[in-house]
Amino acid sequence: MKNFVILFCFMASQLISFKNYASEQCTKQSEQLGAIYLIETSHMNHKTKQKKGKFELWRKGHDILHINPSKQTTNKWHTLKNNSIRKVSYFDHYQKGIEFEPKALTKTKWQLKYQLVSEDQLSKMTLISTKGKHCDRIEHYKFASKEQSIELWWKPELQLAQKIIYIEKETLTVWQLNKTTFSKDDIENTFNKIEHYQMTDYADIGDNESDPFLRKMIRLGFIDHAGSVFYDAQGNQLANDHQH
Amino acid sequence: MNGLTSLVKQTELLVGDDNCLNNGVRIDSGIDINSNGVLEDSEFSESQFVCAPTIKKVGSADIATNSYNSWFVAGASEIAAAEAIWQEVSEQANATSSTTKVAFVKTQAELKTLRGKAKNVILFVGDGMSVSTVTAARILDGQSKELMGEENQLSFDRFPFSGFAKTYNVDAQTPDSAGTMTAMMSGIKTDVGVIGVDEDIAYGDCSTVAGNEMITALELAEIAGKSTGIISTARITHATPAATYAKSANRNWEDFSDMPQSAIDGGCEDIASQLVNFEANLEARYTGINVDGIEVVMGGGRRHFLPKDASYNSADAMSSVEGDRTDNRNLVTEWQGKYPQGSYIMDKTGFDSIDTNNTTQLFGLFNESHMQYEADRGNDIAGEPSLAEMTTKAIDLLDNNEKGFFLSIESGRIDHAHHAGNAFNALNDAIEFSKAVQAGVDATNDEDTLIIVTADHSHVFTIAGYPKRGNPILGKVVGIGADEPSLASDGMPYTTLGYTNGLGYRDLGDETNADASYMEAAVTGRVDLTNVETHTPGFHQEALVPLSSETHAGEDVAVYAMGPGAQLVTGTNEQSLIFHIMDFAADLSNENSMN
Repeated sequence: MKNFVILFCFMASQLISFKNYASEQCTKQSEQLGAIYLIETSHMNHKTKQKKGKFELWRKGHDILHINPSKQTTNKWHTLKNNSIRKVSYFDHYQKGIEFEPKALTKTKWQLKYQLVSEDQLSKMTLISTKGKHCDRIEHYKFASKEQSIELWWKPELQLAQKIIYIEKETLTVWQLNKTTFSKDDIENTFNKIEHYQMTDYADIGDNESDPFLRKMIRLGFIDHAGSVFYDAQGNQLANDHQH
Repeated sequence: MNGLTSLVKQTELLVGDDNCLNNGVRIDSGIDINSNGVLEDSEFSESQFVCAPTIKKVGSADIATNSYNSWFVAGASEIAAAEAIWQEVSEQANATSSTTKVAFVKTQAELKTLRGKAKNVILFVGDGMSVSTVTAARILDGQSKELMGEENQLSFDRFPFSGFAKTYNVDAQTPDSAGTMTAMMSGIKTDVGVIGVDEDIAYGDCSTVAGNEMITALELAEIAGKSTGIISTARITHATPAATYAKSANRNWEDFSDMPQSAIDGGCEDIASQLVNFEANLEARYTGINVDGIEVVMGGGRRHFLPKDASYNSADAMSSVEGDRTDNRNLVTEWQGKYPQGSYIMDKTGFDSIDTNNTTQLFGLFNESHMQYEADRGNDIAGEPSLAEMTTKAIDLLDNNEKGFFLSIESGRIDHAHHAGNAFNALNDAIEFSKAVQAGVDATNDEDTLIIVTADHSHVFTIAGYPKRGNPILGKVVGIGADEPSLASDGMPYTTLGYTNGLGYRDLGDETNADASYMEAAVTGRVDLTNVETHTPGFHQEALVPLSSETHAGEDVAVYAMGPGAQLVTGTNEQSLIFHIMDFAADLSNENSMN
């Protein structure tokens, strides 16, 4: 009996160790990954055609990339020494980027960039079900208000959305996690691709109409300013009440 | 006549009448056709005017209200003082001549003898400091001293000579800083966006630089053996300071990583490298000269001098990798190698430690990019000196040279605050600029130092509505006799200050960094400001035309001057004339060893 108890305790401790190890591995994995989403937008009255798009979320420690392939733009956020966050926008067609002034970093602000859904938003949703284990554990949430309804399948260990269904004003937008990569090479290549772009401080663009790219910036202002990280299939931002 | 009566009608005419300015009588005559006993207008056949004589002279008693008015007395004194200055300038040429005689007969000869009277030249440039910026800053400065504001004077408002400069570039009606500062420093207008080269340049084409380089007043001063300095609150590689020392087909080629491969292969040198190699480059361009390099360089832009490698980060670096250079060059250490006796500094502590009597060369880079707005300077990680402090330190160092000095000082962020649509920071930086000018005046002698204060271009910044005298300049318009804000036809109040274009309204409260506004979406058109505090640093004024950044404007800018040669600053001239005034005053072209 005594041996059985010892064996049981040993196995229990191993199980707990394994769980902690697995959890640590998930956490480590979550810090460096690439997540590719497919986005589908359609109108509830079915009169307009369904539209498709793509969105990429890349993490590398304190650096985050949001890539919009259809618009050939990348937004990068990284944290700075004085607890602030800086946004940099890259434009693939021009091989140029715009640096914004750093702003004070808040937990919610960082989470919206890092994982697209903040803990604050999650806390307002209702947990419907949980399934799977460790890195594959998925929590199913729902939220509904007069203006919008959201259904979210959430991977808490990776801090990643598996699927989001978003309905507002009869427009249905579905985000589906299509591919996740933890490959260091993939991650390095994605971040390195934009490192050689010529950069301009936003504060300097007003002086520079002689530069064709900056002239477009001044006149067309195709820097997105709004707080939402949710896009439809055309890369247009969806309105919500979340601001920078 | 024919049984009808002739009638005469007299009408009194009051003072100011078109026919009798000083009152009189109008006499109308005619036939009473309808026999009603009244001469009606339709019955007039003739009109005559008998007028009281117009007064052409008033006695002293008549203008007692003027004569005893303190403003009248002060204005008359100012004219008398200006006349005395002109008299003194004239008498320098010919001790026996009278002002009238010189003015009418010997002007050209007198001017020739005035050449070279300035041992020192200081050019102050308020980037984007439009006339409306000067007016509004003057008022804000005055109101900060609990005056009504309008009657206040900024330091350069007291300069005896002023005029206007036409700022257009060769290819642009509304110019940029690069083309305008090139005009001021080299005496020739050029295209938008290029530095130190003439209009034969093709923007962004390295191959068109060679042969189109223009010499600058700073370079001429160097060659003449004077000490030289450049100061800016922008990056020291930014357009305005760069135009004093660099030649570039593109103002954005601030460091190696900013240049396209074609420019690198073409042998063009980035602006930061040109600053460090200034001495060698100038000696290579002109055979036989021997210069000692720019003695004082202070500003921002450290990232353009350091390699893109975190191991080179300065102690106050905010970015994870501070440097931008991808050619592995560390220009700070290169500069230190060229000037081993020189002092490199990067914060306020280093600045304060500089002994100007024992420093031969000073290189200060106080920020990764631009220096902080004056109102935001307290937020700098390691501390920055103010523009006024930098001005005093520079002059204290430069005036050790018996041959004199040339100093260019730029308040670079008035422009940036306007681009962000933030009058608070634009005006506060302009006030600091005024303090810097006063520091320059205090540190020099107006007998041997020409000081010119100007702007490179304007902004679409307006002072509008009919606010009452003393109305807070950053506030909403409150009319004469009113206590509540005036309302527009949309029923909403409006601020005195505004912008024609840009990102428009923001209410960022206490935010002192104007550039923080760029993260927010554009809000152009009208906003209900009833419950909005518009005096705060973070309030950005309404704008009409939506653009990602407010733009420059094309109207003339003011030029103010004092010291030898200052009398040439008068009237409306091309901006390039400023170089020629400096050249004349200090005789730069003739004094240099090229001759």
